[in-house]
Amino acid sequence: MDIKGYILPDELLYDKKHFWIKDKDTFITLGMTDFAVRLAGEFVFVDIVEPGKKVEKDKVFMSVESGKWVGRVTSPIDGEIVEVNEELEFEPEKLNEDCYEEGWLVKIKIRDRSQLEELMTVKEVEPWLLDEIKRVKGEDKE
Amino acid sequence: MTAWRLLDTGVLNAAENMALDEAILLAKANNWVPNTLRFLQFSPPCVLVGYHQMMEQEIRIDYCENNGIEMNRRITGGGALLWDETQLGWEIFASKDHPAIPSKIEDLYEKMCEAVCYALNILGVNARFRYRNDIEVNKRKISGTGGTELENAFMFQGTLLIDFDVDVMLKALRIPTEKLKDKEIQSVKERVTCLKWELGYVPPLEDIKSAIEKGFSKILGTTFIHQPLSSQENQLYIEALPRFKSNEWINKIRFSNLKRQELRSLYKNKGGLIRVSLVLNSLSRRINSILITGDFFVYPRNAIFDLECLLKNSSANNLELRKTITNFFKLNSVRVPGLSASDFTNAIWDAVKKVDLLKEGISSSDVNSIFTVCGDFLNINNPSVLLLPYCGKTPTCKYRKKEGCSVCKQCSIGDAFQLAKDYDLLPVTIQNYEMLEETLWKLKKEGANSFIGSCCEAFYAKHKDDFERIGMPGILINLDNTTCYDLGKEREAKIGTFENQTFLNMKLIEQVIRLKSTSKSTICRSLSNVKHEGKI
Repeated sequence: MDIKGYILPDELLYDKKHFWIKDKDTFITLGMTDFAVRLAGEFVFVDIVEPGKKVEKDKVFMSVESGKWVGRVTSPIDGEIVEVNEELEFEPEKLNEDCYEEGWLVKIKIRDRSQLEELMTVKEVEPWLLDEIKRVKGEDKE
Repeated sequence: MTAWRLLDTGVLNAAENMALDEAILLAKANNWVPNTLRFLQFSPPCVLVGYHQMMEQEIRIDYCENNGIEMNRRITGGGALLWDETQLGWEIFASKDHPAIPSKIEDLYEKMCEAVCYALNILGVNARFRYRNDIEVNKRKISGTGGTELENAFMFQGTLLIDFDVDVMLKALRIPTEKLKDKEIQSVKERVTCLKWELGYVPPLEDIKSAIEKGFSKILGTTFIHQPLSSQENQLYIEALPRFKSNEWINKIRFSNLKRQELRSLYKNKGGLIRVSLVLNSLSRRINSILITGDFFVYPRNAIFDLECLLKNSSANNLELRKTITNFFKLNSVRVPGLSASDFTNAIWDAVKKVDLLKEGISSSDVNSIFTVCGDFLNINNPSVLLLPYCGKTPTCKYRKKEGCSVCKQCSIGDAFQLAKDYDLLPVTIQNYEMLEETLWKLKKEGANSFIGSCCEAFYAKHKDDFERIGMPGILINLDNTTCYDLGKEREAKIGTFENQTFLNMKLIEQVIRLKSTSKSTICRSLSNVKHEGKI
């Protein structure tokens, strides 16, 4: 779906921290939305975490950097990191170039599937994102 | 509109200041405290690396330890900074959805910097924002910035250079390379400034703080009320402090992605000489930082400084570099008589591609001791001669002023002669520049593939275009000691009367010869040795 120039794929789920989630039954894939990466600007560093790391819902577990700004990545669910996109270690710009495919961040093993019910479909997130877009005044939409 | 808090935490050490950063940000994220402008100072002096940096790659740890400079890590991004007791830090902690706060990070940087520019103008300094996140005065950086966020709160911080010691900064921080020549050190100094240099005096600290408060008041449309830390912040600070003192925090273990490689190049044509010193992340192939100096005139005067800023953290891919630099020259109407955007790209690329020498087994500390003429290191092979400088002989050597060597083992030239014999190269000691030129022309006429030689970087810089004109491919290895150029005796050296002694980097010379030599005699000799031992 195109929401005021920002692409949010229909098949993904979203949270209110600008992350996308792909539900793969036993695990989720987590990434940053088109809106988030365009707000951040060019990424210069992605902190690669170790598989096996335990994560908690709404808690910070990794960081990214763009233009001297350290962004904190939170997990939408409790779980455990099972895979990390190591390509981002050498090519952080992939986050900007292809945030939904090659720019995925981590895969998290799901501990409690009921937490996924709090995530939103693209239609559910649309009103919130429209408010976010309004809040971002003076942004160039390419 | 609700007034913001003005919080002056005074003079604290590095860990205390960093712990407070975390505590205040967490308190703001929970809405326990108002939006805040904080002032901070450091004592004892310290170096702070950015959140994602590796301490030993950015800081000269020995120097800091020996000089009472603490080391710590920020929670914000960006590069390493030296904080001494004269600098002032300013920080904004606020809600992201405050109406005065831009949502786009780039716009946020600009707005925060505008506030400080306003403050500096009050103090009589003509400051302006420099994209992406600095404040400059006459194209010299006076304040750097960085930020981070936590939930709905953010922290934006900046330094203000009031009066600082550039020499200590260059000793404490590895900016941008380990060994800077005098001219490069001077160039680094030209890129920064401080209040004292701009005004000729240091204004009272309270005046500076008052000006900054007025700047933020004007730009954010708010007033400030002095308030201390809240009890919750104090508690969070007490809990956080041990972590910020810990080795685990200060020396956070990073993955090998931070493979920092310092690379240098020297590019010359009719228009002038370009020297490049850069730091490359050899795994991600991004330029961490770059210093471009040399002998050329550039208009506008500070275009090269802006180019350096633009290239910071950029990709080191040749095509992308070329595009970035060409566009920069075009958009900014940059003119460098005798040199083009392409020349600057070539100079930078010459530095970047030195990283490939690591794959050849050349150590990271040796890559910058290798220069090539008429080709790349990878393509120059099968040398037939080893050219050696006469100044490598002892001053009392009977062969000092004539070609030859008795291999008496009193100097490294004898070692080189022996090495040349082992690898079937003809060793030639070059007595003066005319002899060098004659030798190279002769080699070219005889159809030699290439040569290996040893000279100092200053000689290479001076005669690079002569080497290129003659057109004989070669690999040159830097000398290891004080040269005629260091002593201002190059005229004497040119005519063969220089009296000092230099030393060859024998280890590197042998390594390069081994890599490049495929002499049949060498193979035969090896076979002969094996036969002699009865192994065939």
